[in-house]
Amino acid sequence: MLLDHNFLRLLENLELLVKKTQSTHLVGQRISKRLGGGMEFNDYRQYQRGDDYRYIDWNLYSRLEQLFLKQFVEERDYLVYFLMDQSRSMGYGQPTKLNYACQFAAAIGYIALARLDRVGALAFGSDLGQELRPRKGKGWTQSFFRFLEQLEPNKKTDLNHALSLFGHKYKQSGLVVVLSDFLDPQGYQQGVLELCSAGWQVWLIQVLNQDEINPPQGEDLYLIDSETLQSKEVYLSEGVVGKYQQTLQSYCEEIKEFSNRYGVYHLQLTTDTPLEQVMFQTLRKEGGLK
Amino acid sequence: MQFLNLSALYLFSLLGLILVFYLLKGRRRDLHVPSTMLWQQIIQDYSSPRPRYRIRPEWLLFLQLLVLTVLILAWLQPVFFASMDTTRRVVLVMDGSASMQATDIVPNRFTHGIETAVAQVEQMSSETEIALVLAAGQSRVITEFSRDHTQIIEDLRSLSVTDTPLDLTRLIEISEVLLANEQRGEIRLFTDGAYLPFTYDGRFDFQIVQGGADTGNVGITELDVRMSTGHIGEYHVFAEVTNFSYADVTIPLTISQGGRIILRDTIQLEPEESKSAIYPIQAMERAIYQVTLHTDDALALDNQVYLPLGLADGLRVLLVSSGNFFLERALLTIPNIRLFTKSIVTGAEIDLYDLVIFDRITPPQGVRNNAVFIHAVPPELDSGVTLARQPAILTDWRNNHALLRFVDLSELRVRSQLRLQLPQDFHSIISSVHGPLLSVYEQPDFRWVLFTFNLDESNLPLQVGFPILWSNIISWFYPQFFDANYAMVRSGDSFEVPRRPWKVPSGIENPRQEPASVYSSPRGYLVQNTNYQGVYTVDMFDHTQDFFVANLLSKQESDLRPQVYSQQLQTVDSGEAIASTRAIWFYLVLFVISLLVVEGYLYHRPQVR
Repeated sequence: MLLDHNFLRLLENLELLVKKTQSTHLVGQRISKRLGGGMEFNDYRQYQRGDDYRYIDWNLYSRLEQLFLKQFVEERDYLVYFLMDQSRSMGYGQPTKLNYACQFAAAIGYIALARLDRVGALAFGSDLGQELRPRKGKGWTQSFFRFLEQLEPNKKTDLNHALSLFGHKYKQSGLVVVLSDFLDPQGYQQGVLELCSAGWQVWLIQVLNQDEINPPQGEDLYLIDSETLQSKEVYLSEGVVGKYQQTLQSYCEEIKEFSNRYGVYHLQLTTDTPLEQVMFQTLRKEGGLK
Repeated sequence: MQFLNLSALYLFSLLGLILVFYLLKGRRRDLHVPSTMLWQQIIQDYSSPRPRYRIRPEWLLFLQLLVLTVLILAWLQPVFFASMDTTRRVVLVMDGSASMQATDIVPNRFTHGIETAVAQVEQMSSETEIALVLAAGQSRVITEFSRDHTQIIEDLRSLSVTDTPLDLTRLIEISEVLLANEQRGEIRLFTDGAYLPFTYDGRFDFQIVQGGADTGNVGITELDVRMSTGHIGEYHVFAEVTNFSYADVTIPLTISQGGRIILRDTIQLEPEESKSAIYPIQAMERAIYQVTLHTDDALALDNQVYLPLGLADGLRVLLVSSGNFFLERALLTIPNIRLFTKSIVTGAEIDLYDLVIFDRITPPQGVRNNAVFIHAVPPELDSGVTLARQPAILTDWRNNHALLRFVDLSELRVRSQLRLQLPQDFHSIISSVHGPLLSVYEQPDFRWVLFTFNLDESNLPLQVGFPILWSNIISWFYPQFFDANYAMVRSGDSFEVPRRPWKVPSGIENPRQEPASVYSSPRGYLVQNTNYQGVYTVDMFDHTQDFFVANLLSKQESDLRPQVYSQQLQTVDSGEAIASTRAIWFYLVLFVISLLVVEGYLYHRPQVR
C-alpha cells in the first residue's frame, strides 16, 4: 500500500485547485463554466426565443410581467493524468525517486478520485509505456495504486519525445502531472510545450534525492551514469562539489523560469521531504490544493 | 637531545606502511549517479591529471602518523641534555685518589683530570656556581659555591693527589650536602674510574668525566704481620701481590731495612692472578722495613709498602705490693714489660707508669690511671666493704671477655673475698655467691680491673691460666703493644697514638716531613690525615720518637683498568660537552595516550552530512 489509511482519510479534506475549469463532457462535482442543467443557481437573463420554458422564473414574471430565465452552472468532472518517468535515473536513492514520485501521484490521485474526478496514469521512458485509462470514483483507487506500485525504473529517458507523443495522443483538457527528475540531456521543454498546446494544464513535479544535491566531498570517484552506465573520473574536491551544486541550482531555476513563462506549475521535491509536509503545507501554500 | 636506543630507528619504516594503507584506501570507488549530465562541463573544467592512488589529507591519517612517530621516538629512549649553562650549581669533584698518580697519561692522570676540569670550568656560564671537592680517602670541600671561576681554576690547580683509595660514598654524601637546598644540581666527578662499579640513585645529575687508559699494573694489595709465638723478635710477614693486567709477569720482590736487602723473592703471576707469600723476618730492634716490587708499571705507589717491626718502647708497670712472688713471675713472662715494684706509692708517682697494680695496698685517693686492684678497693668505693670469710662458690664467669681468653677458671677456689656493692659502671667478669670476684671499669681515659679476693687465699696463681690471665690484662689495657699490625694503617684511615701518662706527643710528621694534624681524644691522640703512604714520625716530649706507617693496599686503586658503569651513569669522554640527562619517554607516552583519545573522538563523533 503506497499510503496508509489515516493519511488517505486526511487527504479527503483537500481539493485540487485548477486554474481553468477545464472539464469533460461528463457530469461531475467540479463546477464548469458551462451554464445549463445543474443544481446551482448562477444568474438571470432575458428570455429569448427557443429557451427552455422549464427555466423561466414565473414568480418574477408575476411581479415584473417580464420573462426571465434562471441560469444554472453545470457540475462536471475533471481529468487528471499522471505521467510517470520510468527512466533508470528515477531508481536512484533509498527510497528511490520513482517510489517517492508514486507516493506523490497516489496522494494527488486519491484527492482527485475523492472529488469524482477521473484519474489516469501513464508511464514513460523514451517512449510511452504502460497506461492506466482514466476512471473516476474511489473504487478506482486500488487499481490506480496497484498500477503505481508495479512501476520499475528500467528505461531510458527522452522527455521531449514521450511528452510530445502524449500531447498528440490526448488532445483534451485536464491536468497532467509530469513526475520526473528532468535530467535529460535532450531537454524537456518541447514536450512540455506540446502538452500545453494540447490543452492540458501542466504540473512539473521534479523529484531529486538529497545525495544528488550534496554529493560526498574529498573522494576519488568513478561517476557512473545510471542510464548510460558511462563513467567519469572525478575527484570531488570542495571546488568541484561547489561548482556542481551551483550548476544543479541553475538547472532547477531554469526549469522554474520556463514553467513561469508558460503558465506551468513547477514544484521541486526531495525524497527526504515528508509527504504530509508537501500535501498540507507546500501545495496549499502554492495554490495547488486547498 | 640524544637517543639511547638508535637501533630502533628502523621502526620509522612503519610510517610508510600506514601511508600504503591509506593509498589503498584512497582508490577510486564507483558512485552511481542518476545522470552525469550536470557533471560534464564541470569535469572538463576541473579535470587534471591525478595519480591513480593519492592520499587525501585527513585528520585521522595525520593523527596516526603522529602517534606512531611519537611512539617510535619514545622507543628510541630520548634523553634531554640540558645545557650545562643552564645548570645553576655544579659540584666539581676531583678524584685525588692513589690511582690518579698513574703515569699512563703524561704527566699523570691527576694532572690530566685537572686540565680537563679547568677546560670545562672555562666553558661554563659565568652564572654557574661551582663548588670544588677533592675526593680521596677523606673527601673534603676545597671551595664553597662560587661564581668566581678564576678562583675555582686556581684552587683546581693547587690540588694535589693523595695516596688514599677513593671513598665514593663519602664524596657523594659531601656533594649532596652541598646541594641539599637545590632543586636541581649536578655532581661532576673527574676520575679515572678506578673504583668498584656503583649506582647513583640520588636526585641530582651525576656525571663522570673519565680519563685514563686501559693499562695493566702489578701491586701489593695485602700485608699482614704476626709475631711468632715463643720466639721474641721473630715475625711472619704475609704479603699478597696482584697482577691487574692481561699478561703474565715475573717480578722480583725484596724486603729491606735501612737500604739493606734482607730477603729476595721472585713472584710469577698469570693475568689477573693474586699470589700470597709469607716471609719470616727477625727484628729485635724496632725499625721500618720495606717490601718492594721491582717493576716499572704505571703506578709506582703500590709497588712498595712499609712495615714497622720490633718491639716498641716497653710498658712501665708498677706493682705496689708487700711482695707477691707468683704475680711478679707472671708479669715478667710478658714481653716488652718493664716491671717496677714498690710497697708504698703516692698519687704523683702514679703518673710515671703506664699501669699500676695495687696488691693488697690501699690506693691513694683520686686514682684516674690504668690500675689493677687486688684485694684492695679505691677509697671512692670503700664504704660498706665487708669481708666474707666463707669460701666463694663461683656462680658465673664470662668466658667471652678479653680478660678470660684461653683461661679456664672452672677449678678456681677462693677462701674469702671482699663483699661490696659496686656501681653499675663496673662489669662483673667472675661472680660468686658473695658478689663479684673480678670486675672491670672503663672510662674514656682510663681502665680499672678489680680483684675482690686475695690471690694468696685462692688457687688462682697455681692455675695454668694465671700468666695468660695477666697477659690478657696487660693486652686489655694496651692492645697496641701486642699487635704487630697496630702501627700499620691503610692510607686515609686515622691512627690513634695511645695515651700514656709519661709519653705525650709533641708533634707528628707525615712522610713528606709536613706536620700532621693531631686531635686529642680521651684514649689518645688521633691523626686523621694519613693521606700519604710512608712513615709517620711521632715526636714525644721526652725527646723519644715513635712511628707508624700508612700503606695503600687497595685492589680497587691498583686496578687501573676502566670500570664498566651502570646505565644510570653517563660516562663522558674528557673532550665531550657535558650535559645533564632527562629521560622523556614517559611524557611522550602520555602525549600518545592523549592523541589516541582525540583520534577516538574524531572517529566516533556523529557524522553530519
